[in-house]
Amino acid sequence: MNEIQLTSTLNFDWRRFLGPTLLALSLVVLSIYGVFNTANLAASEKKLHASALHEPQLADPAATYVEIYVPPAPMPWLSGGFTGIAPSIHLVRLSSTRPLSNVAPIEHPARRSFGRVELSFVLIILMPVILLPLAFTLSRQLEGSPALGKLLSGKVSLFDFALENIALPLSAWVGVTLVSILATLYSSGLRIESNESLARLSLWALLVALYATFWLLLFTWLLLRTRDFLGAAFRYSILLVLITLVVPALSLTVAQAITRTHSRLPLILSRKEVSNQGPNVDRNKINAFFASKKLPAVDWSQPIPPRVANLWMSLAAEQELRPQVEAFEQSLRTMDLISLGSSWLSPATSTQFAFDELAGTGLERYSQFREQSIRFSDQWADFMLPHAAAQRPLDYDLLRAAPKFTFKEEATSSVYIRSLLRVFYLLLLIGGLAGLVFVEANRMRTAAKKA
Amino acid sequence: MANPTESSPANHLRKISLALVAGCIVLIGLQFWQQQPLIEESAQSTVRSRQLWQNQPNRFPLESLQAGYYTPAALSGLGAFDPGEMSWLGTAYWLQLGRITRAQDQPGYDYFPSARQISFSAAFLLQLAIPFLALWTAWRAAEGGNQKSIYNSWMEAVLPAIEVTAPAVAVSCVVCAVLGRATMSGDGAIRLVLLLGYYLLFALAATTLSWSILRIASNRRLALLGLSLFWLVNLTLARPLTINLASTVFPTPTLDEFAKKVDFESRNGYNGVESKRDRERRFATETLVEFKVKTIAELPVNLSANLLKKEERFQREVFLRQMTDLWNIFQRQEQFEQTLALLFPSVGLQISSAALSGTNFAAERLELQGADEKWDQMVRKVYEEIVVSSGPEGKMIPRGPEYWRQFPDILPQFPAAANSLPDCLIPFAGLALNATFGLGLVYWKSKMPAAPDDDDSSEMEA
Repeated sequence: MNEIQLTSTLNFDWRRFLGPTLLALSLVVLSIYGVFNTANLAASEKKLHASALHEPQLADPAATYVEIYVPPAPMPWLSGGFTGIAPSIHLVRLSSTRPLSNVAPIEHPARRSFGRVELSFVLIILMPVILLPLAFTLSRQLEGSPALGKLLSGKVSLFDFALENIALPLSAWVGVTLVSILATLYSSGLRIESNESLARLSLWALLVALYATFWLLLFTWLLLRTRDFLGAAFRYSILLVLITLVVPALSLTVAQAITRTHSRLPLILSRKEVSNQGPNVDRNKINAFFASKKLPAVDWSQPIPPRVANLWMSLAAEQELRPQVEAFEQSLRTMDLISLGSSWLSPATSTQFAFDELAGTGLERYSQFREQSIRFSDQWADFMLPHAAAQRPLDYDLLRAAPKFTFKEEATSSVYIRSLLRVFYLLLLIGGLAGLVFVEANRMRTAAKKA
Repeated sequence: MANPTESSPANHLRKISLALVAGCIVLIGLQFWQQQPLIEESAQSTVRSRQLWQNQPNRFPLESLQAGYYTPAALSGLGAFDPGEMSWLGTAYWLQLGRITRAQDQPGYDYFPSARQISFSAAFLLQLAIPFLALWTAWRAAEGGNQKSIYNSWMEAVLPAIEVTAPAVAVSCVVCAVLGRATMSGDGAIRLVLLLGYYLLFALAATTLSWSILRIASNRRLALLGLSLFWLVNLTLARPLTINLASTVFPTPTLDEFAKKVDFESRNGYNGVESKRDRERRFATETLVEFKVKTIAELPVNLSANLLKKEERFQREVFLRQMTDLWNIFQRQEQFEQTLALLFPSVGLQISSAALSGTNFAAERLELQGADEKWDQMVRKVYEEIVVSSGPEGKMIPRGPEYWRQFPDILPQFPAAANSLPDCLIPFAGLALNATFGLGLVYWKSKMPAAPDDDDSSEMEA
């Protein structure tokens, strides 16, 4: 008797669990891989910044330089964002040119074009894809159960039905994935050490939950509307491609068509044309430059080393190029504004921007760094120019008095407000979809009652 | 008059075809419009950089080589069809003494509104549309059940897919050729023909794959769901996954590691076995042997100039070795990705489309290599000339424009279409295998005793 009971207990249908287990496993593995990649990006950027030269070392005011960089993001593990893509380190010296040159990591261009598989990629792209087989498994289980009949006959409320048959089974997958992600985040270095970290992490978790709910409701609405799993899955696939791929890519293309990407090449060649003049410098140009900067006039009767004359000439040329440079910088600002505006067109892009924002790896922070770098390079030039003009080497005190770059982080409240706006945007979409689901469910129930 | 139920799918196909053609034209226009400033700047810069090089001021030739040469890259005329990895390819090349040629000025660094820089192009539209179209036509053909002959059913699936894809790709090619006629050569025409062929092959393979699975599946609805998921993964996840896996399996060194390696070898020789002083001694001995003399005083040329020439060769070797190692890693990453494309047909199409459009990283590397070889030839000649002209007393003779005009222009040349074919080989084999395997499977299944379909309504009616 005991033997029979034992056999029947062990003889469970493993095939029923194989699909869901494999799905959960693939989600967990990719999440861990994503977190690992995100942490790697942050670590390599930190390594790059560690070797930067913070203090000026040389006595020559024209040659001495500093390397300025954007400080580490508050929570880089949450989203790779623009890490390694946007310029995060600049070399600033008197003769450095704008747009400032940046140091880039060594990476295959295709990886930058198609994006990194990091945590936000897993959550934004993979999660909605996984939802499809997950929904299929759930629907298969529902088909054989009496729960659907009870819902249609009005014996069970929609809320109870959703809680028991959708939310509870889903919580197993969500729980396993969430625990794995949190464990990997912890092992990668994420710690909640301040209220700010807690707030950022909470907002991030809220966004993840809302984003997942959005896709779940979208599929539920399609399913109720078509009353056919296959039809709903096909429409869902098309919508998924539209929301996660087509809209972001199209808005990027339109933004690029509006701003029309320019290369730095004409600016570089203009500078080369100046340096190609050799020892024959244009004295009038240099005199005019000194006058515009209110520097004492050059005494041309004294011998001037060709290196110094060439520096003055290139500074004068740089001033001439200033309108071109500013036009270039303005086109970059326009591009940023358009992309920030167009990010609201797709929930996927909007959520991505929010993740980046909370992680501190977003477009706005990097744009602020660019603007502050430009201001700093002007300050540097203003400080060094009188010394270079007087051909006076920098002593220890002057080197110490040279401008120091400190990145001014914007108020954390602004980050929260912008992230909350993204939360409200998702809530609005979820509200709309929930309404549609409710209407469709009622229509279905009415039709079932009539039948 | 045609039966409306029969004409309805045909009408749908006609509408899809028209929409696809219109979409491709609009997207090519958009891409061309945005790339136009880059193309114009490149053309103007070619003239300016050539003038700059030829009008060098009077100075010691090594100073000119040290100042370097900045030249625009040869941009692909097919970037409007498939921009590929263009945002991360250099718009210019920097050739400088002591360093191997390198790409500069990637627009992606300046214009970085998105961490995923996928442009919506005609190629991208086709890459998205073809799998869904294949799925739809395959479903329609398979709906008829196994009553039709394999050939008829296959043709019913494949022909509409080809009929929709062919005009869209052909019109895209024509529009690209018209817009890029100023820069496009015979090579461009070959690339366009290859692109047309490749997209048609993809349509054929995607449809055959979908059709064969739907035809042999006992549960067609489940098979359709599986296929939808397969193509969805192909379109959304596959490419980032393959390229990221490739960079995990074959990691590149960090910038710091690379610089340290170059610095170490430049100072201490390969594997750190030769200090700079040892090297100088070796070079001096080699010079004596070269000129068949026993002492330095007997040398007909300046020893320092000769040592300088040999040191330059050595430094170049160091850079070349490190860059070759790095390029080998990139190449391995690409080959790994191409192999994974056997599992993901869309990845294969994306790789091949960018390769045939000349907008991938491999094209840039080839272009760089070509420009670097020309630069190296010139550097060698300049050094030889210095060694000969400086005499035993080591005169530093300055050279002006007339000296530099004797050298041919170093203009990067866009690689020939044939050079792009190796990148398409494995993806091509994958597509061909997919199609053949699908057909073979259907044929093999047709020889087996028929099993009843469990949920196909049309067959149940039959």
